[in-house]
Amino acid sequence: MAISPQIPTSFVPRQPTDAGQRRRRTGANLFLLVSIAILAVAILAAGGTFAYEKYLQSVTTADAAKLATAEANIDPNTVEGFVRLRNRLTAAGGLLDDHIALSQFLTTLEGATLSTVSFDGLNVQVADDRSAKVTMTGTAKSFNSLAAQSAAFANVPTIKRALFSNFDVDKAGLVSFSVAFDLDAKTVIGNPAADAPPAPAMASTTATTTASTTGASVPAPTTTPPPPSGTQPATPPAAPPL
Amino acid sequence: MTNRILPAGLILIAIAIFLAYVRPTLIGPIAGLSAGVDQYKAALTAADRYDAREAELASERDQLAPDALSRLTTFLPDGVDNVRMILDLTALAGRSGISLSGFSIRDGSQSASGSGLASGSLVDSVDLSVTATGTYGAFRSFLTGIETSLRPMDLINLDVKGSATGVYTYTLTLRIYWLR
Repeated sequence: MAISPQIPTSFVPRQPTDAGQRRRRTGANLFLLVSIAILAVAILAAGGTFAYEKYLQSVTTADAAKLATAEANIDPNTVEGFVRLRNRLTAAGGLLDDHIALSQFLTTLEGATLSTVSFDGLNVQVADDRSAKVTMTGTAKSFNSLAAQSAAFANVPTIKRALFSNFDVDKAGLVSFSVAFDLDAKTVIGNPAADAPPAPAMASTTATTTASTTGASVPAPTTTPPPPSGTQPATPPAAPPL
Repeated sequence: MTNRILPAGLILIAIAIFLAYVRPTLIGPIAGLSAGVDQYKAALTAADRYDAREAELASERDQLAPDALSRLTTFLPDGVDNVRMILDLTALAGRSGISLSGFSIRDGSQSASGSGLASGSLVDSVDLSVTATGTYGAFRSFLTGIETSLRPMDLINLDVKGSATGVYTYTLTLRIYWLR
């Protein structure tokens, strides 16, 4: 005969099991472990921070020493030398580009002057922009010669706004006049070597600087170059040519 | 109860460590040191670039002939040295058949037309005025010598007075430059 499930199998009383209390103890231990881990992380972070700070300090000290050495290796005279050389090259280029060579104008003037006209006075003023104002006085054989001279100047592209004035006729019929015009910068700036007569080299009076100040090593001419025939007046040379 | 106080205390200690040391150190000294290190790195990089550039420039300069450098210095000297210039002009005039007189010097910046140099110009200038006497051919030779001189002189004013003898009087104003 089967025993009913409601009938206890033993007469020994049993203690009721307390599963809930065991769960509370395990949770407390886990909380403790987590807190210890957090503290450990905090301590490690503090240690790492301290070590990193010391590392950066050492790097700073080392870099400062390297930089001081690099600075000490910089020679101010060398730097100054480079700067001045650069400035000298730059400035020299600018001076060459704007170098005034009035020989070109004189050559142009010689070519444009008629044989019946002569000049006895000349003034050239070069402006900062390398344009120039020219004022001349001269004598022409006649008014027709003067008109031809005016036309000749008009045919020179670099001579601008030529204006003849102050006319006077002497007893011999010669016409004295003055003329003013502007010069294009192209006539003022340039290399005179192409169309100028040979020039004696500019040299120092001392042997030590002769080579250094000599720009053109052309030997001195034995005779001075004659003015072009165009500047020779046909009339008696009361007004010598320029 | 005790089992909960200890972990909480540990966490508070950890928070205190973080707030009292780690965080202030990170945003304070370490940030400053880190910025300083970056600046030093940049400076050292610049120093390396300087060394390389200096070596490059020295190499380029060494490729220039010493004579060329000497001529460049003569072309644009460090000072006006107008006395030597007058001596050179006198010697040139003598070889050209021109006689010179009446030298006068005026600061280029005080000239009527101005020096023509910008305020940031690399050069200074003076205007040298001189009176020359000679034939036209001699003057052309003298003028060409001036224009082709190694030391540049700009003839900014020329005044010529004629005469019946063929010997003219030339008043020249020459602008002379030197490196500022």
